[in-house]
Amino acid sequence: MTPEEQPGLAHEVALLELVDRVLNKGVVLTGDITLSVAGVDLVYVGLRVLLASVSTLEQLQDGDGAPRQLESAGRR
Amino acid sequence: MIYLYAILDEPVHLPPLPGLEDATVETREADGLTVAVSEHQAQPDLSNDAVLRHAQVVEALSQAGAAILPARLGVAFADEAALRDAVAARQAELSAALERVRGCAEIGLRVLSPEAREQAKGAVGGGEYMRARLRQATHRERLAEALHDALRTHARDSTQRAHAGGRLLLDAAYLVPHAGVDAFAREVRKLEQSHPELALVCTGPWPPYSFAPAAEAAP
Repeated sequence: MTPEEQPGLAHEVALLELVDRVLNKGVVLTGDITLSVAGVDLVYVGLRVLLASVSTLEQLQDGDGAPRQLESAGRR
Repeated sequence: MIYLYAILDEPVHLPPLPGLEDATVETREADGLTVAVSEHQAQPDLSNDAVLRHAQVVEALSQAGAAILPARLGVAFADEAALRDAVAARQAELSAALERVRGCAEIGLRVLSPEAREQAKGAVGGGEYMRARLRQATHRERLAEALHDALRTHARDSTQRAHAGGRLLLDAAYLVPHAGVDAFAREVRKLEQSHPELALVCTGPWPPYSFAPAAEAAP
């Protein structure tokens, strides 16, 4: 499920969106132990990559004028 | 140590599902709700693999049909009693959140505009430049609001992250009933066509990560 295994910008974007959700969203209960996330820096690096990638997305869109629907990573 | 993947409104039948570090994921009752957890001898290592494993477990649980609140990565408890106490302390809030997300998926949207600086380039002189920047900022705000409003009518709930800036015009998540996902996607395509200068990056459907209460919401 790494970008290497599923090449393509849509998958990369979906993977970054997934990582953003898992690390930054979701239930946190009071009184729990929050384990430290060693790779947290990677996410912010990743989101910058996402923003940088959008010019490529735009070129893709300009190419055939068709709207792109992104599939989520980690599904089936 | 007990590691939390999600909170559900009812027990679900799970196929054998490997969790973090290949520990078995199981569901247990906690104060009338169901928690999906795995047991660990020591703190599980939160590597890139853990991120994907956590996401896969949440995805499998969300396919099982119950209303689900995904946990953030890294939420763990010393033992089951500590987990039960934490759930009991926020039972009402969690139940209400489960009711809200029932039957819905999350759709993410980031909207990117052309480079902001480009539009103010023609201005000469400091005052004119500042006025141009201000007009531009107001225009961006209104545009983001209009896009958000159009999509919000298709959603049961929505969140908008305030950090939008630079090329990022809108960073939002929408809680969309399963039956309404196609209509939502059509609305996105419509907005894409009426705003060809913008890039709409739409992802999903996701489990409702953005609509699960975080600790800060606790009283």
